[in-house]
Amino acid sequence: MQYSAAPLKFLFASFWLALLAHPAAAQTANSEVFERSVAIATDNMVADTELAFDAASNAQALANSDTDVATALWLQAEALLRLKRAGEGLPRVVQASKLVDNNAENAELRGNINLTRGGIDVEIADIAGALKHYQDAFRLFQSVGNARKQAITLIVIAELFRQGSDFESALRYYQRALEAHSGDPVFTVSLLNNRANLLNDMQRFPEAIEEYRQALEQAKSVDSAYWRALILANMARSQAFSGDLASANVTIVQGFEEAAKPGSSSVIDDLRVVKAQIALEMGQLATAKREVALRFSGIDLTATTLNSRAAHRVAYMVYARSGDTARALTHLEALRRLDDQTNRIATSTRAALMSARFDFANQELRIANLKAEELRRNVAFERSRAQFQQTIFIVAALGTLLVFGLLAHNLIATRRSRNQIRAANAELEVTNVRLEKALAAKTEFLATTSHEIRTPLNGILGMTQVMLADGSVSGKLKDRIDIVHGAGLTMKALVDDILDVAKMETGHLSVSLEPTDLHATLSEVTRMWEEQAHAKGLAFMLDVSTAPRWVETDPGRLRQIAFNLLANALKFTERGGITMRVVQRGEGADARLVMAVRDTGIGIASEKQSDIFESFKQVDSGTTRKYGGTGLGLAICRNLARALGGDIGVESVEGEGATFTLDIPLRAAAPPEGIEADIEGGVLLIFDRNPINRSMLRTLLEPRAGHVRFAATVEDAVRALQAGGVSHLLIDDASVRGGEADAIALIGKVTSAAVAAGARSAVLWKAPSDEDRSRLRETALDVVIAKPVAGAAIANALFGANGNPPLVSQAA
Amino acid sequence: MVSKKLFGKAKALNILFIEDDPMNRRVVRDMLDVAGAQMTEAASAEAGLAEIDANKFDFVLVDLRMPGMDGFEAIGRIRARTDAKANIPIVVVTADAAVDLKERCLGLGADEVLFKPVAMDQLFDAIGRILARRAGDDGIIG
Repeated sequence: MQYSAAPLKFLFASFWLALLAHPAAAQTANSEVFERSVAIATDNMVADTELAFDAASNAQALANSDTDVATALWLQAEALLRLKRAGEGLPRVVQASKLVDNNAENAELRGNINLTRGGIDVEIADIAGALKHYQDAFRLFQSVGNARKQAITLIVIAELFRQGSDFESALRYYQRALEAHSGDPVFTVSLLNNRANLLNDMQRFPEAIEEYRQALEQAKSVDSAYWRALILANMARSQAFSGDLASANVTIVQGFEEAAKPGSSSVIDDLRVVKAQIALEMGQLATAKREVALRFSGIDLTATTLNSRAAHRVAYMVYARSGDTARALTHLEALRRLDDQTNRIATSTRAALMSARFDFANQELRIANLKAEELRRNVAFERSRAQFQQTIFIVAALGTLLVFGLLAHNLIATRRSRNQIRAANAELEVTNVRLEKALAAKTEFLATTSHEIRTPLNGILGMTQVMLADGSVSGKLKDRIDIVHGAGLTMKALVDDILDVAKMETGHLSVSLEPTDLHATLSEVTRMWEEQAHAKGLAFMLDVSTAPRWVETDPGRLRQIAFNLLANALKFTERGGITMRVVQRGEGADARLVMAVRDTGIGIASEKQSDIFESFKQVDSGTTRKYGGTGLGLAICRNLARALGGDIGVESVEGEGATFTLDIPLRAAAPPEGIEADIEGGVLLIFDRNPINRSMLRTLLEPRAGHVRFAATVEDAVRALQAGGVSHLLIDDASVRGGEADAIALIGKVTSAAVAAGARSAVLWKAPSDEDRSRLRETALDVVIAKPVAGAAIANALFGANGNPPLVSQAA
Repeated sequence: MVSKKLFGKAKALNILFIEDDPMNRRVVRDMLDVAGAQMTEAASAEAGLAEIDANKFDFVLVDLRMPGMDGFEAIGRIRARTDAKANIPIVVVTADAAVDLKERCLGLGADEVLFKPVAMDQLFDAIGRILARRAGDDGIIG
């Protein structure tokens, strides 16, 4: 019995009647009604999930085949998942996949079932299961070429990684989702916005802002004030975080304009929070408080959800800054409650993801290795077969015209072989990608383990430092403690190196540029190695005389490179010497900073010169045995050099020595405010025994002095003054008091050395009596500073206020 | 042998260390002793907050991961006090190397963050830096 389109509607309206009246029609009627129920379930899944569930249950009753039952079960499970009844959904998806598991024609349906099952897994906290089912879903959607569903699957995987705080992986999946599907503009806008949010969370603000810009661009074709307002709010937040308050202000005004349009009022809350944050940064506390109060007006602060986390943080800072501690604490408690929630989710998700991926990666690594080997053999085999067949082809062609048949056959076979090579190569590429993934899992494991080593190291290194600082330890015992301390430091360096390599391999190695005193940075690093070189009987020279003093670079990373290169030079050199020369090459935008470390050591054979920059490689294993070390240093140096925009290379003749050259872009920098360029060369010597005092005085005075050195005893101080270069001397009375010798006599010893060195000298003296003052004046002191004293007053007494030369009478 | 005086202060710096690991408490106590500072121990954040209620400290050192209340909350509660003790300098000492940890602590109001293994001079530098900064705020040392 056939139905045309018109009576179908009628039939649907009264299908029970039809079933009762015409049993013979039931079969066909069922299948039509089944389709109809499925359509109702699908169409109402988002808007009216209860209805969708009822329709899906209805559909199950009408199902005619395993495929129909599976479809109905899947829709029920999806509805239950959305109704937060994931537990009830689980048996349904399990049954559904059993029904169609071996059915190759149902790839799309199986993809849907796996996608829903992954969602249920997340709800019941089976993260490993979720990852597996999402990946299955992706493969199935890929096999039927459903780009939209592929993209959706990639997004849910990205979300899974984001929950586990593995932002890098999340970012990669978002990228793949964007690539998989770029047709639907709303889809693209929301993807770009989400990805930008992720970059913001990773504190990669310039990239996030750029991404929001692209999202705004795409949003033009969508014409939705809601999206524009939302993106503008997010973008303003990133701009505020990146410190660009002016742009953030402009963006937030635009955001409020969009939010005033119909359909986008829900964004106003987000905009208020960002506005409060910007106002806070700009010191406009009243505005910040007003916006925060509006954001939370009428809301129960003890029952907010994760969406309000950022808002609570800003509110806490605003109230804390304005001294309203009661309100600040309320928001802090809300923040902690939500932080706990996030941390719990992230920790359990991350642990599960880690173990799932580690297992997965281990298996994949083994499989990938096997496959790579097999493919390599296949490629070789096919290549030789192709060559062989070509040879036959030529022989046949030359030999005789009788074998046209053979000729044709060979032509086809050759082409087929070439196609097989191409296919094998493509598969080899896929295998390489898998190997990379496996490597990432290994790296993460390394990072976790290294971190656990730090805690016991704290005990070892802490105690050796305390023992070495105690003057009563000497002789053999001190030597032995020195050895433990040295071994502990080596172990710490090793752990740091391994962490750096782990960061390198996952792309987390970061540099942060700042105005840097190149001369001070390098002389600080070389001082330690200079001593060691001299102790080994080697000459040592540092030449920075022609390099600019202030440059824009990462001082920590530059120090790390110099440290590694010098350590290597010293390690492999037995006689001769070591030179570090730093020069500027070129001018303006093309200027380069070139640092060359030359030694006269064992050198490196030319064929090994490229290997030494790889992780865990020294020239041979014998080198490791003889010279020690992990072989990580140069690999790290090269990566750091590249992160700084340059590279590192080596020139060497075996047996004659080696020159390692760092070549990075040179960006000149102005000295930071407060540091006067004309005090170059002057050194402030601080004579103070207490290490905490020293650090405090260094912080207070370094901006004015440029270079600071310390002495702990009268002898140290006199020696430092005799060595030259000291322009100012500051003595703390506590360093000369309390002993058997007369404090003022000790000061006299130091000040006479200061006079001989031409250095200006000052003493900090606690509440000096008239007698103290007159006795102190008899020593060659220029200034007596009475304690207690203001921090800035010490600097002014030594160096003069506002750059004017100081008057003795000011402080004395 | 080592000066117990700091810029005319009549007594040594009095420092509270909140840390659940006894070995780490011992290490930092001995380090501070080198600089002539005194240390009071608290084995939990709750005990540390009670110490602050009862006594006056120049500095608080605090670990982050502790059973019960953690270091983050302890910092928040100190900063949320309504008396002058809300401004007590706080130095975080942690073995955790999470990427954004330092920013998080500073955002909560910590003055400095140190990572284990803690080098002695880094500990002294952190304390000295804070003293210098506070001297800039109040204008007076000693």
